[in-house]
Amino acid sequence: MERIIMAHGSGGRLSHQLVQEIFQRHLSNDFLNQMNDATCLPGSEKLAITTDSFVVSPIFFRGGDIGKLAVCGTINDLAVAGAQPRYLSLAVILEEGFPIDDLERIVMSIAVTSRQAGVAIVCGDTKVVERGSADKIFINTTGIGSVQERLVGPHCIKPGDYVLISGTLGDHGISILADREGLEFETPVISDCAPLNHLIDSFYMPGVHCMRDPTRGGVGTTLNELARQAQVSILLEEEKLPLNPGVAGACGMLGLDPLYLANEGKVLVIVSPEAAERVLTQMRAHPLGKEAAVIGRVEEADPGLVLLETPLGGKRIVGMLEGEHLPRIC
Amino acid sequence: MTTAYFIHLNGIVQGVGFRPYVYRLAHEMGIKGWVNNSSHGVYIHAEGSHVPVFYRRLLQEVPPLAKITHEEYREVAFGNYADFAILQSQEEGQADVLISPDIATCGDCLAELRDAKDLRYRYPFINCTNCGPRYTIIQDVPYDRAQTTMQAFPMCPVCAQEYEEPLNRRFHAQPVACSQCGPAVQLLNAQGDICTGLGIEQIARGEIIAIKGLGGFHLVCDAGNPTAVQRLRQRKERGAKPFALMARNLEVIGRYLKVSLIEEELLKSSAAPIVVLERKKESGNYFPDELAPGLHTLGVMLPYTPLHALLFDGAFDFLVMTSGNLSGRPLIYTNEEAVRELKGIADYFLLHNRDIFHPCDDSVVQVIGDEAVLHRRARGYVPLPQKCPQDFKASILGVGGELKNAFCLGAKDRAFTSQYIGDMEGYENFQRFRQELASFQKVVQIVPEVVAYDAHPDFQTTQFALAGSWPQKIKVQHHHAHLVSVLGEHGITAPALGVVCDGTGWGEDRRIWGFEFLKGNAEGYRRLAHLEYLPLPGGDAGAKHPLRIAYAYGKTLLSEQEWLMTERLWERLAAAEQKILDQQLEKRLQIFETSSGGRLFDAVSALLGICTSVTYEGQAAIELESKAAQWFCKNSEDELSYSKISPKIDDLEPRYLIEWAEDGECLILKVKELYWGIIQDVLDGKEPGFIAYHFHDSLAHGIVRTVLKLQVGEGPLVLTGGVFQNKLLTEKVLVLCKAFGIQVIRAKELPPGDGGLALGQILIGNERCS
Ligand SMILES: [Fe+3]
Ligand SMILES: [Mg+2]
Ligand SMILES: [Zn+2]
Ligand SMILES: [Zn+2]
Repeated sequence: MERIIMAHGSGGRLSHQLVQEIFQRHLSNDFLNQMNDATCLPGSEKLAITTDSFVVSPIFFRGGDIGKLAVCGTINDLAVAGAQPRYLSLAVILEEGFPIDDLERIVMSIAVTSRQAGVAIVCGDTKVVERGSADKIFINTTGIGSVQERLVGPHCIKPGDYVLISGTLGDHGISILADREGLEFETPVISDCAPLNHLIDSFYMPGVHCMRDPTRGGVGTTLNELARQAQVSILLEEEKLPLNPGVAGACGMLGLDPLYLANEGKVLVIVSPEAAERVLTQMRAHPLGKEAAVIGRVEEADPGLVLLETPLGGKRIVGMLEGEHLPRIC
Repeated sequence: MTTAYFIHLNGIVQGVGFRPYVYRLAHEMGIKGWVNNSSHGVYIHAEGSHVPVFYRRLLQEVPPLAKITHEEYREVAFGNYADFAILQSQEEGQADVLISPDIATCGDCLAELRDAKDLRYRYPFINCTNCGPRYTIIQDVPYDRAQTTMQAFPMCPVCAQEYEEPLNRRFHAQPVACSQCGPAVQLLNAQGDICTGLGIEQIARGEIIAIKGLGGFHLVCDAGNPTAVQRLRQRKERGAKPFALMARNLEVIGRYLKVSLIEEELLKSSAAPIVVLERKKESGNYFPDELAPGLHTLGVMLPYTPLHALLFDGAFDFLVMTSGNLSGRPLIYTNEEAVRELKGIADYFLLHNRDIFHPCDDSVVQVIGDEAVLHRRARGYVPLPQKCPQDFKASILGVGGELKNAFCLGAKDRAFTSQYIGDMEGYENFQRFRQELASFQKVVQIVPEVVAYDAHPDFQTTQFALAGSWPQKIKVQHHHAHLVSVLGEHGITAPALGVVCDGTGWGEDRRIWGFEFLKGNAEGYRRLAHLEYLPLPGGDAGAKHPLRIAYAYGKTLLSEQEWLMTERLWERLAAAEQKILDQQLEKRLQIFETSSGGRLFDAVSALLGICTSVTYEGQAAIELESKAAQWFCKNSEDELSYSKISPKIDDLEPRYLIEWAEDGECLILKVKELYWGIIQDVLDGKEPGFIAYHFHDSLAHGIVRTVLKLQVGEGPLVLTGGVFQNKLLTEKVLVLCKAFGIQVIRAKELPPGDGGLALGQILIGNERCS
C-alpha cells in the first residue's frame, strides 16, 4: 500500500500529484479549480464564518469518519447560527506513513458529504509532518455561510419556550468510544454524524428562538451554557429524552450519562410554545429528524440551572461537569 | 452584710423556665431586686443578706433544660427594692442568646394530658416552659411568641394568666395554648373530606396516615401489620431502607429489643431521638420482616409530642413513623404540600394548623462503644452550637458535602451546624438547603463573610459556594475536614493522627480518596497511609452494583491462577457485563482509582452474596455488618453484645491479613491477602456471617496495626468518617486500641459521617482566611 512520505508536503511534484489525484479529483468545482493563492467568491450578502479542527480517534468509525465529521461539524455550526452554509476550506495535516488509500477514502467521504449538504470546498492546504509529530491525520475546516434575516441566539430565549431535540442522544459519543476501545455492546451504536443544514431549513420558521448542535459535552453542557447566557432555567423530562437502546445499555454499564455524550448530527431547538408543534412536525418529516421530541421547557426561576425531572417526579440538577462523571457517593 | 449584685447569665436561658426559677429562688432566700430577659441573656439585680449564696445556688440548681455558657457578676449600688420582680424583656443590639432545640413532652404535661379534670385534657398541643416546640417554630430572634408561628393564636384569658404568672409552669412559655385558643388537628380522608378522631381506628385497620408532627410529616402505619408495612414500602418506593418505629413506652421496647442504660437515657432524653437497638432473640417473628429487611436492628423512638402520645390510645405498641417525603426529596412540612404530594401514599391525613418554620427530621443515634453516635442530627439537637477552641477571625459558612448535607455557621467561638438537609443532587433538597441557610442565619445571627467548601469540583455545594458573592472562598479537602471536625469538638488544636474512613472524597491527586490515615490539625495535614487504589468501574453507577466492584477488585488483586478459581462467584453477572468489565479494566475506561473504605465493604458484601444491588446509600455495608453481628450472636453462648468480648492480647491473629507497602513517605494498606482469604472461604462454603464477622475483625486489626506502625507519638487517635457508623468495626477497633493503650476520640455531638463535615470546613477555612 502506498503511504504518505515527507515529500508529499514539500510543495514539489509529489505534492502537486497528491492534490491532483486525491483532492482535485474528488472535490472538483469551479472555485477549487481556480487553483489560485486565494479563491474569489461571488456575493454581497452578510456572511457568517466558523472554523473547527478535527482530531478524532479512531478516524474511521461506525457511521462516519474524520472527513465526514470535518464537513458536518463546520456546516452544523453555521446552520445552527442561522446561516446558510456555502463554502468550506479544507486543511489537512498528515503524519508521515499515513496510507494514501485511507486518505482517499476520507476525501471521498468529504466529497459525498459536502455534495449532499450543497456546500463547495473552495480552497485547501496539505502539510505532512514527521512520524510521531501528529496522530495519522488532522483536519481543519473553515466555513462561510450567508446570513438572511435569521436572527437567533440565546438572547431570544424566553421563559415558556419549549426545548426540542432532532433525535436520539449520545450516538456519536458511544460509537466513537466503542470503536476506539473495541467494546462490544449487545446493540451496536452508529454515529449520528450528519450535515444538518437541510433539516434546519425544513423547520426553520418565526418562533425558533435559538439553535445549538450539542457536540462535545452533549445536551447537558450545551443547555447549561444557554441557561447561563439567557439567564433562564431549563427543565428537562427524563422520560422524554430520545435514546437508542444501545446507548442506554452502554451508559448503564459504563456509568455514563447520555446528557453529557457528544452528538454530531443533532440540533437542539428552543422555540416559542406557539410554533413548537409545527416545528416538531416539520422535523419529524425529515429523515434526520424522525425521532425528534420535545424534551423540556424554559423557566424563569433559578436562572442558570438545568434540571431533569425524573419519572418519580423529583428533580435532579444537571450541572456543568468538571470532566468525566466523578463519583460522589460517600 | 447586705450586698447588691448585678448578674449576667447567657446560654440557653430563655424558653426553659429560667426567670421563674430565679424568681422562686429569690423568694425562697428573701432576695430583692429584679430579673429580665434581654437579647444577651438574663440580667438580674439581687440584693439582700445572702447574695453570694444566692449566686452560687443560682448556678448550681439551674432548670433541666437550661445551659449556662456565660456567667458574670459585679457589685453594684444598693437599690433598696421592696420585692423581687420579673421585668419586661428588653432588646438591645444584636441578639446572642441561644435558641433551644425542640423538647419532648415533659412528665407534668403528659400527666395533665391524661387528667380528665385538667383544662388541657387530651389537648394535642399541651406544653410548658419545660417542653414543646422551640426551634421548629422560631422565625426570628429574640425568642418571643410574636416571632414564632404561634403568633397566629392569641391567648385566651386562662392561658394568658398562666403565661403572666411568674410561679406558673407556663410563665412565658411561648407556645402555650389550650383547646379554646390554640392550634387544632383535623383528619382528612384521601378525598379531602373531614373525618372525626385522630385516625387511630384507621391505623388499627391497617391504613396509612400522614401525620403532621413537630418538624414535619410522618407516614404512619401499624408496625405489627405486615400488609400495611408492605403497602407503605411499595407506595413510598422505598427499596429495602429500614423504617423507624415509635413505641408506646419504654416497657414495650424492653420486651423486644435490648436496651442498655445509656440507650434508655437516650430514648427518654428531651431530644427523644430514634435510637438504633438490637432485637432480642426472643422477639422472634414479632416484627414483620418488611420493617428492616435483612437487619438485626430497629430504630425506635418514644412519643415526643402530646399528639403522638394520644395515638397510642390505639391497641398497637409500635407504629411505623417514617419521614413524610418522596424518595430523594426533602421532608414535607406544610399541609398543602402533604395533601398534594402524599396523596398516592397516605389514605388519611392528620393535619394541624400550627405552622412549622424550620422543617426538621427525627435525629438518629446508636450507642457505639458506650457512647451515643449520631447517624443523623436534626430535631432535638439543632440549633445547639459547638464551642470551638479559638475565636473565628471572621464569620464563616461551611457548606458541607454532597450527601447527607448539613451546613455550619461560625462566629466568635461558636459553630452552629444545621439540621440534616439531605442529598444535594436532588434539586428540591438543594432548594431546602438554600431556604434553611437563609433562615438559619437569622436564628443564629451570623452573616458569613467567608465560605469554606469541599474540594470535589462537582458537588452542588461547591458550585453554590463558587457562584456566591462571599468575599473569600476556601477549598477544603474532604477527609481533612472530617479529621478537624472531631478535633474541634474536643477543643484540640494540636495535630493528631486520624483514621478517616468513608466512601468518597476528592483527593489532591485527583483520585477518589476514602480510607485515609492523616496527621494534622486545622492548619494542615500529611497523608501518612491509605488503602491501596482499586478500580471503581463506572463511578457511582458501580457503587450501585457492588458485584461489579467485587469483580473489579478481584481481577485487580488476584493472580491469574487464583482468578481462574473464582469463576462461579460471578454467575450473577451476565456474560456481557463481565466482558465489558474486562474491557473497562484492561483499557482503564471509566475506571476511577479509589482508596474508598465504603467500596471495600460493598465489594465484600457482594462477594458474600449479602447485597448485590443497592437501593439506599450504605445498604451493602449495613447488611454486611448486620450479617456479621447476627452470626456472632447465634454462635456466642450468652446474649452479650457481640463486640463486648475483649480479645486476649496473646491471641490477636486475625483471620485475614492486611499488609503494607511503602510509597515514598506514605504507607499503603494492601488487601490482597484479605480479599483472597475471603474468596477462599466463600469457595469453601463457609457461612457468610462467619466471613463477614472475620472481615470486620481483620479490618479492625489492620487499622490498629497500621496506627501502631505509624508510631506518631503523643496525642489521641481520631476515628471518624461514615464507616465508623459501623458499630461492629468501631467497637472492635476500640477494644484493640484499649488493649494497646491508644487513647481514642470520636465525634460527639455531630455525626462522624458527612453530617459533621461542615464544622471541619469552617475550622480549616478560619485558619486560611485573612
Ligand atoms: Fe465523607
Ligand atoms: Mg466550531
Ligand atoms: Zn411540659
Ligand atoms: Zn387558651
